[in-house]
Amino acid sequence: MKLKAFKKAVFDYAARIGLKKFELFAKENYKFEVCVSRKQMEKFSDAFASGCSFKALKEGKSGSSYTEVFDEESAKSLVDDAVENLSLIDTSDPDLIFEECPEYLKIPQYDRTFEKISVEEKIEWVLSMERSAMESDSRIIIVPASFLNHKRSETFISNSAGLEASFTQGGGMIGLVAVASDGTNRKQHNEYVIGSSPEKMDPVKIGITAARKALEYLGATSIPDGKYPVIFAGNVLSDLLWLFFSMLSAEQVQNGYSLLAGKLGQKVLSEKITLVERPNYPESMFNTPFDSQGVPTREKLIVEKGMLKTFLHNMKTARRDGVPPTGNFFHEEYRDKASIRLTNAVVQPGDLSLEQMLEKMGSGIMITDIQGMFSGGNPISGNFSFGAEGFLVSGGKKDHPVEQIAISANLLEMLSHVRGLGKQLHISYPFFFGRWAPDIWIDSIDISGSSNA
Amino acid sequence: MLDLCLAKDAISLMIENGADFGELFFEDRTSNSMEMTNGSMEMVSSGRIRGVGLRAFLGTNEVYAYTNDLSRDSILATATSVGKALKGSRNQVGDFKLLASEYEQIHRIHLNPSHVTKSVKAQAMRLAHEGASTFSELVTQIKVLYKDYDQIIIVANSKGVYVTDRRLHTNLSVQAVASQGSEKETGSEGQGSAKGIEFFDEIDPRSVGMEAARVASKMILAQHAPAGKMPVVISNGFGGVIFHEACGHSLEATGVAKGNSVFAGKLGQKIAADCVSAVDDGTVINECGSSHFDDEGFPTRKNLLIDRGILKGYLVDILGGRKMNMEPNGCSRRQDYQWAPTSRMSNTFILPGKDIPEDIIADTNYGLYARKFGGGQVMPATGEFNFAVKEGYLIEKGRITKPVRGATLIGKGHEIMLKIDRVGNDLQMGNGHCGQMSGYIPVGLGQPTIRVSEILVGGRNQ
Repeated sequence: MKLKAFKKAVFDYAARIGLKKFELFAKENYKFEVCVSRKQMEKFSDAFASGCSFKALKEGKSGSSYTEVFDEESAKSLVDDAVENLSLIDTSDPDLIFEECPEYLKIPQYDRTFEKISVEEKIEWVLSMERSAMESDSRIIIVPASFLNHKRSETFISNSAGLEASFTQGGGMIGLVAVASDGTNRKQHNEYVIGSSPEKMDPVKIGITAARKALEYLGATSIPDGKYPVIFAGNVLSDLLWLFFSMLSAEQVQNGYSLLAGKLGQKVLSEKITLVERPNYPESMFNTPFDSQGVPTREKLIVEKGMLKTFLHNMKTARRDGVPPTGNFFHEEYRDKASIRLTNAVVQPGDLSLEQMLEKMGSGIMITDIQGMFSGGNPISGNFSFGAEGFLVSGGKKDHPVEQIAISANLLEMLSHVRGLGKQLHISYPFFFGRWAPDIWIDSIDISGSSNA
Repeated sequence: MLDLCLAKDAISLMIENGADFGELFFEDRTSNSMEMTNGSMEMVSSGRIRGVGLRAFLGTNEVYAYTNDLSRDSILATATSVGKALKGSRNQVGDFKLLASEYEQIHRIHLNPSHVTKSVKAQAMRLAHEGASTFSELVTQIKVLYKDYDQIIIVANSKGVYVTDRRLHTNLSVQAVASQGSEKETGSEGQGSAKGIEFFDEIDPRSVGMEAARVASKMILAQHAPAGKMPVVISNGFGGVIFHEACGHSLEATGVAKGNSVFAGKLGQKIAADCVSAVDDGTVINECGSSHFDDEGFPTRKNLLIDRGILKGYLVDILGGRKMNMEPNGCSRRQDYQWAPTSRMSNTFILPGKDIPEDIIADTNYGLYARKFGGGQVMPATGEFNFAVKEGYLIEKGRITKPVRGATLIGKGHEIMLKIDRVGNDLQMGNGHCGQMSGYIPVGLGQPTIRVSEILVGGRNQ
């Protein structure tokens, strides 16, 4: 049974058993991946899967279910399970479906450009990426992975109020891991390019960049504990902001999990920081005109010159706060619980080049990578302690590479002491949504390093 | 279930089209998840996934594809394209028979989660909430999560392997938030097992809630952890995450086979202190990472990794084995049919030593006592790891004194393993989840109390 027929079977059955409000979210995913190491194809994957989730509402309570099995029997159990699940709900806070007539942003759909390239060509891309890294310097000892992947997701949303919407997202990523060794120590660097089109992706350049950056870290040492003036690379700022992004969820706020509760309209970060959500951002794989409930997405200011402008809402949290939903409720996959998040988060750039920023700072440290972003930070307290690496800065220039240090602070406190922002935006690894941020210069950060306590 | 003839036909097509090895993995899984926030049931969801993963090798090249369209046409078309993608020559299919493996059911399930009503599970959640909410007035928010799954798998391959296995998992976890002024700290506790609902006869859901509340209310009163290098005593049980991150991942064939691990080529050499012996054991009865067979159809087993400091073995899957010229040892795992399997840990632990835990503390003049951990991560190529201490205390003059928060432990696995200088006699297992190349899977991990003579603690400078 195809998705369309299955949807009809689900809706017919739901109506037959007297359900008045329900919604169906379906996704068809296509994924391709190729990875080489030591000139050998290590991994090749080409796959397709589809599934859907269903939400039933009754007396304000909602229950969910999902399936990948599309037949008559499964259509019934999908509805029956959701109804059984809602009977256990004891919240008094009613859930809703989207019943308005939506006006969606006109956003170009993914045009499958990656799928138009032949498999042979894709394999040649990853081979040449590995080759250019390995050949650029004899100290590059291995490329554990040189990869290309792309995906396409077609999302379908329909509900009992007559909503029918669909959109195709997609894009790809090419990149590699280069490991450099000086005989005693090893350092690695991951370099990648992400986008909705392969046009600007240059495998040779990516390979050479990965090698150069891995080599820059060779000879890295720890540094003594202390407070250091710091520049975070744009990708690190995006990773640090992970903690902040989760504080923006109205669900977190309403349940008392967010430090931003009660701070709407107040200054929460340095006035140098402006954060915008852009659901239609050039080259992003995360563009979408609506969220998983069918609510339109909108470009909006989240933080304007340090001032908190809005929380992110789904239908339920919006009703509770008496505001319109913001189009920020997403199922990553049909089997995942939907959660509140951004589409594309963009920190507005400043006016300094990295060179100017380094020069103005004079001495301190530049952090280019952090580790443990999902374990070392606490979005509820805002406190973090991450492993980090980067470079000492002296005389206004990048100097010696640094490793085996930890940085610790409270995010909100730290981001209220911003000295400057870079003028160029850097993209970050695509965890769930798109993130762009400039390099940022901050007063000081606590570093634990080589000192004995 | 999947038809045996269809499985054989799919495998044959991969071989015919160029593979020297073909494998089919079928999975049918039902899952339930429930979420209670501050005592109110907010989310109940259940669902089913069902699909097939097809994998073929030619030498050390691997091709993987999956589909959840289980029609004969779809599966055979996927098998053909998998075989062809290897670009090998067309082969004659040798005569292989798929023979079902007989095995003794050792991980028994007494009460299948699908055979009890959801209100029974909700009741356990309510008890967990109660345990947390009555513990301390400092606790302001409580979230209780319940999850179970029932996974039926078939693995069949061109070597004639045909196994079926059924894996059930039940998990209850609590996150408690304690507040004071504008500050908030969390405590969490999770208990999971490859068991059915009988799990709740063995653990008291209340105690899970109490434990989360205890940590949160302790940590909200704690000062920031000190920064710098110092001795760290790591508690038994989930403390085993240090071995899992600092050493275990670097012993997986995934990295070792291509020299992308600091422990590659070190078999028979000293990689840890003499007091360290460690195993990975997928046969521990009903433990979180246990199963009868791994995801390549091999019986799981107990693999000795380190014996008194000497590296004795790696975790080897079929593909890793081909690259390393070693036999696979029953440790291949995957999240679900959408992931190709690879070498992974099951239940990994440091074996008990002779020290009495209290003596280890008493013999430490100054340092950190790490009682509970959050997650961590490692880069096997360089050995660099980090993980978060969720409950920590200062050790001063041989005594555990003040609670400290926000510490992260940072180091290089190969250096830390040599710096373990005390191993207690109090082995205990913990459990958690691990994410890697083949996805997110439940794992067991454990250890006795150990001491690392020096490790970098990321904290705040005083």
